[in-house]
Amino acid sequence: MVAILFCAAVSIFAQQANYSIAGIAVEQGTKQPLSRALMIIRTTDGSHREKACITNTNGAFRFDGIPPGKYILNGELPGKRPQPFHRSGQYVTGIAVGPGRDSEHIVFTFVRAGTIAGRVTGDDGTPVRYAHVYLLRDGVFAGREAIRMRGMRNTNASGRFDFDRLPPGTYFVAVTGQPWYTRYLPARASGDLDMAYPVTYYADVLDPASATPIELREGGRAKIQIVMHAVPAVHVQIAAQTNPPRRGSFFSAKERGPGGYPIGIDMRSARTQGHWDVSLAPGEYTVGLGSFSGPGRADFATKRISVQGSDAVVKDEPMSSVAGKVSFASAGRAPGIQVVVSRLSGRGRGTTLKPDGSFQIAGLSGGNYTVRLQNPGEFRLVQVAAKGAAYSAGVLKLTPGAQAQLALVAAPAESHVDGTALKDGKPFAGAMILLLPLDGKTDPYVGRDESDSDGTFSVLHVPNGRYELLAIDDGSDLAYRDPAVMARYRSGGQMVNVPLTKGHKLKVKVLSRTPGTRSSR
Amino acid sequence: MHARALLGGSAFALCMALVCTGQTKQVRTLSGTVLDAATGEPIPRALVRVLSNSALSAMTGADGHFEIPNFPTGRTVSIAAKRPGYGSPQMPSQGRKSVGPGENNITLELVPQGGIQGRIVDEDGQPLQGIRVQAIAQDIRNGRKERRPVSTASTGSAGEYEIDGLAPGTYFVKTFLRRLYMTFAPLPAAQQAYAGEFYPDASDRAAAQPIQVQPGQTIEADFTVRTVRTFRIAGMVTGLGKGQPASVTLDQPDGGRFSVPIRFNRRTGQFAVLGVPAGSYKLVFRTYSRSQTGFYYAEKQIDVEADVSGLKMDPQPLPPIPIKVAQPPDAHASVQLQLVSEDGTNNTYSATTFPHQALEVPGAPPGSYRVAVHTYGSACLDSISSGSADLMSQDLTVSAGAAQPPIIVTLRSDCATLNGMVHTDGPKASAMVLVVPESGDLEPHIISAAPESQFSIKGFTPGDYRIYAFSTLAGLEYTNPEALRDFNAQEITLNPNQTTSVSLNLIERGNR
Repeated sequence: MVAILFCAAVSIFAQQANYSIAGIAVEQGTKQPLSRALMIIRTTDGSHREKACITNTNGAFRFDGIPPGKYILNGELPGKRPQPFHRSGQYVTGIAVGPGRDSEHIVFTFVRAGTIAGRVTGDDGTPVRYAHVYLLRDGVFAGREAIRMRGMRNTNASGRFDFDRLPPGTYFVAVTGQPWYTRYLPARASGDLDMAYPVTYYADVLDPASATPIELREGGRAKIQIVMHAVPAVHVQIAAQTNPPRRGSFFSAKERGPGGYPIGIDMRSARTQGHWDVSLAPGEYTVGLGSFSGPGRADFATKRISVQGSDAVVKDEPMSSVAGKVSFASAGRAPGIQVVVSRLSGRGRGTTLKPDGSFQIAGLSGGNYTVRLQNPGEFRLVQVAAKGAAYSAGVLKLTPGAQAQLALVAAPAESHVDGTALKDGKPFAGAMILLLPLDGKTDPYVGRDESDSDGTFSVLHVPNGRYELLAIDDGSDLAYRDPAVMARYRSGGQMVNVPLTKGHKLKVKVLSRTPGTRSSR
Repeated sequence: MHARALLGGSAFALCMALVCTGQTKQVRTLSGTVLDAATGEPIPRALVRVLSNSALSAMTGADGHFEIPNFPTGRTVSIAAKRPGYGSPQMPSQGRKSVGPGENNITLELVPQGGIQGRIVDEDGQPLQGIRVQAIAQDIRNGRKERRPVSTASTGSAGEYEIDGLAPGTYFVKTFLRRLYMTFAPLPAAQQAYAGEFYPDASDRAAAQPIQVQPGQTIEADFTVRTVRTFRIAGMVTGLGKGQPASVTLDQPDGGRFSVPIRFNRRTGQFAVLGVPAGSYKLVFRTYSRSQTGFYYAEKQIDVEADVSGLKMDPQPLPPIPIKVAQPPDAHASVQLQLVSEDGTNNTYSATTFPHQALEVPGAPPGSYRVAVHTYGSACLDSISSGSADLMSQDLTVSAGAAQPPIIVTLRSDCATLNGMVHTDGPKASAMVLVVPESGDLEPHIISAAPESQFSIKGFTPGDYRIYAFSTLAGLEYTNPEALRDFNAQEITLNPNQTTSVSLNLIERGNR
């Protein structure tokens, strides 16, 4: 047995200090106390000092001799990933220590992660080994509802896969692989051995629209079985314009999965003189052909194809592009600012602004995109106006072939909005804090923070303007960038004119989350 | 846009290969059956293919029967059966057969794989996720017992692991050390680990219990893994050429490498490792390549029972060991010399000399080595020595820093020749002829001999030998006289400059 350092009167940082951080570690759901959890507090003043202790048999932990300030509290169960105290997206709730602050009754809830595990077999009972298993999550990402990839695994030699550390939510599973015997055979095998597996979705369907969602609860364990049915393969030749293809050329084929998420196909492909020779199951694919044309540079072209019987039909879908200019409302922008257009699924393409603020991104396929600035420094994107494409509620809709012209405005954002979230007159920890623009435009800027243990919050880098300040007790999975979702909370908040009078601290009433709502659907 | 996709449907080549290349040749239909070697049951959906032309392939039906049309006639053709769950890379001849011109109705047998699975819990019975588990095969390779890692798995969320695809045989199972907490901050409270242990709950290799895996069988092997305190070891390598490719490793007393990476800064010479459980270790510094300055090496024995810091490692040059070959004037032979480490790792350092050209063995770290010599050409081995040590009967000891005396390989030219023939009543198959010197100081010779035809081998050191003809040497510990005791041998004396003839009967051995 191990000599464990239990948490008791750990004398800590150098200065004179008489405050404590203390509480109890419990399991989510059951509220059972958890012993042997490693608790770590970290300073937030930039000194990066930290201290650790392990919870006792009652789940209790205690740090004494703590100077006033704000601290980050993390917990780690043996063999598990570290967890921050009350996380919501990229925001965590800090622990405030000092006069009048209660930092000794913390309830640290360890989230129970779920798993989705299973096995993939072929219709002949053999495991489908080294198949690619995609796990997609239908959830809220950066305030918008979307389907994004949670992870990808290769099945092992027995066809098994295991996704762990999953938050509760709605998931889809897609599998792409090849019959085991094809790896022993030439590209064009004879007759009944020339087979391929179509992309298969849980539960054993080929149409992504018919995929069964897996609802995973906290700590839930889903065990699934997927059976793939071999169909005669179709051989497609894809010629490159550069003949023979240059070194470093590559080929991919993707199928649109749930929510349009592209599932990269595991297929057999061989590059021969002047073309790619690929074997696929019948279906509709986006094929891409590219080659590296220099350090960090690649040329890429995509086509939609429909593969049926022995024919592959090209469905020409013209590429879209966006171009435009970012106007900076004041001087002093930093170099290296990028414009990024992203699918709601998270995949994006970006380009660095030219000195005059102009930019161009070509080769986009049709669909819905968000527009943002990367590395904006002290600036925030506050206006987007589009010609040649529709822009509303922060979403740019590009039709195939559209050539959108964008006029973007970036404003300096040097103000802070500080305050305290209160519920029934008492400070409220862990509330979602939102600053929503009020001037009626579809502004891409939304201010965001999470209230700390004393209810205080601080939204940094706010552009000047009129906002509604909202505090919601449970912001988890709330599509706060969706106006239809937020309509029921609006006008429950408080009007704020930024900049605030110097030193002014706001008080905001915490609203209750409307049960069962995250989206407008 | 720089690339354009030109698409065309094409089923055109389906049978082109068969028809066009087969046109001028005679073909026939080969049929046969694939059976499970353990149960004798037919195996459905097994792939049978012609190894030289995988376009000629067929799948077995529900009755295990297959037919390959367009099978070539007039020559011997190798075919092989495959199916997931059968055979293994350790048994490459599994499910293969050479089909002679007149042969048909072939039977191929596949050995079903076995597996090891189990559940890993801590002392409180809580399942442990993410523990790496390794199966180590106790195998016989090149006539010697050997332990070799074959497969690794990780425990899932319920603490369960599963290692499958194992060839029948003997295995040890071990877990790898894993830190309880992932933080890298040097917090005393976080210095704990799940110990690396051998099945069943043994902390070292010596106490490990072997697991026998039979064909098609899955063995249950559950572990309880102890929680241990761990410590930090830190120190500095001094006097080292800057940036030389090198590593610091922590070796366990049984020769196993400690599985936690050691952070080593090649520029400053500083090294540190977190998460070392109490115990005895050998800290080893070694350079990887022969730079201008040659190989360097340092080792330090350390007993860990608390944090250790301020360790100093002072690498010493590892001078190459010269080899001198003393050849009779009329001889013209090459020598391959191997130093095989006796520390349990079987690390091998080797050098080949060409006729009348001396060489050296570079970079062998301090330790004991078995010296093995093979000669090629018109001379045979007489003796191997180093200083006063006779390396035919004793190990070579290498120590750090000091220059090693040369290894002197003395050859003689009055070598003997062995002629012979292998007889068998069974199907004609090639034989492995094993020639074992009686003295034990010389290495056994192995010759592959075709059935019912004369073989002739030159270059034997005169002396007494035992000779065997086996159908296979797989799994035979032929360097151990005990393992050969049950087989009939021809005992012969090979005299200087003379040719001796033998007639051998094939000893049939199964795969295991």
